[in-house]
Amino acid sequence: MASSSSSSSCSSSSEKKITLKSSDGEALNVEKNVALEFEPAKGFLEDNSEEADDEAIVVPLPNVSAAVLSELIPYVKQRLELSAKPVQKKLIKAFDDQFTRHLSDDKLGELMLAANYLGVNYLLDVLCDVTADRIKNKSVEYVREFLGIQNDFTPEEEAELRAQCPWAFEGVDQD
Amino acid sequence: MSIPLDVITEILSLLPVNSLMRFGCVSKQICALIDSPEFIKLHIRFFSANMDSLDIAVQLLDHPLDSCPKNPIKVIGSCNGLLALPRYWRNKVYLLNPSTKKHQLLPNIVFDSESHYNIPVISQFGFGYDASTDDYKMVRIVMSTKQVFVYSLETNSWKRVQDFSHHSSSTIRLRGGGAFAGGALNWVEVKSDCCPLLIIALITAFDLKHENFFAVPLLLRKN
Repeated sequence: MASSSSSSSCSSSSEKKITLKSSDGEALNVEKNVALEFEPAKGFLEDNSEEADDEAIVVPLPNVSAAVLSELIPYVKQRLELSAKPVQKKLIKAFDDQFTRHLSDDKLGELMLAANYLGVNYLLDVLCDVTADRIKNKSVEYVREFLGIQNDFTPEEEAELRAQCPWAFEGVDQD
Repeated sequence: MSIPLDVITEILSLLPVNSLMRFGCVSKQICALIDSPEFIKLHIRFFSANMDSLDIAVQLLDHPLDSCPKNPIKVIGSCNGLLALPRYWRNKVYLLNPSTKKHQLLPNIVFDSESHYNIPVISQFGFGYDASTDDYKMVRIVMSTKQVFVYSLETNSWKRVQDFSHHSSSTIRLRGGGAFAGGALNWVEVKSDCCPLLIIALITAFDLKHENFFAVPLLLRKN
């Protein structure tokens, strides 16, 4: 309600729609307050604030696919609604748990990249937490794959490192 | 998919030490990251702010140096996950990180000639962190001579500082193991020969930054 709604009298600011364009060229309509949660979109909207009609603005997000965006948008929307209410920490925690519980490792990684790029720090924190929990009992190989890191140790160097702390390799989960 | 290093850093900072020891093998960059002082501080900060899990707090300590069953190990100081342990029969102290199992034996104190033949036995120790110099310090008070020595992990050496003195003529004992709080090591100072009941006189603290003693007044005093 705070923003100046110039033309249409009945539409509030939260109902204003912005168009986001994903890396794979899809256009997604989102409420302006949701779009403002994405740093690049916020910057773009500020730079183009002289544009009279928000509906005409198309914000390019070249690093995020439509598939990831369509998961992020409902999350952010609901998260905003929850945070608007007083003392909802437990509810937010439950909501975050529900959102992350069934994510595959690949999806978790994709969302993490997107949350980092879009500057959605509350989601990034949650995803980092989930990732840490998921990898803490896993093997070195699993973590390399998960984080997309190339092993640059020679087999001798790696064997030497492993020999320094053999207990750290006990009780590791199956990949 | 490649996750940016700052995000990886955040994820790793949430992991227990055991996992970090293992993930040092992931790559050279990750190994260097985990070993860096900046990361260690980040990790300590997170874990000291989130000590809600006690399930790893009680475990059999597998310590590397001593195997003599007649000498039970006492912890004479602890700070940021490091333990200070004595080897009394050799007047030695070592520091141990029980998570990484790395340890370091502290060098001997070189006593000056006046007390050289009078080898001091009863000492009070304290161990803490000096944020002003980003250094861990061990304090040893030799109760018979009132000499005070400060060890710095940074320089790996002892130095003598101003003696421990007090105005009372009665025998003073220090209790409480030099608890580390507020940048200082704290002992309860007990006068033991003036009254059959123990009277807590005050808390004596050693400021790790300025390396001097100060008294902490108690609000309640029992007679």
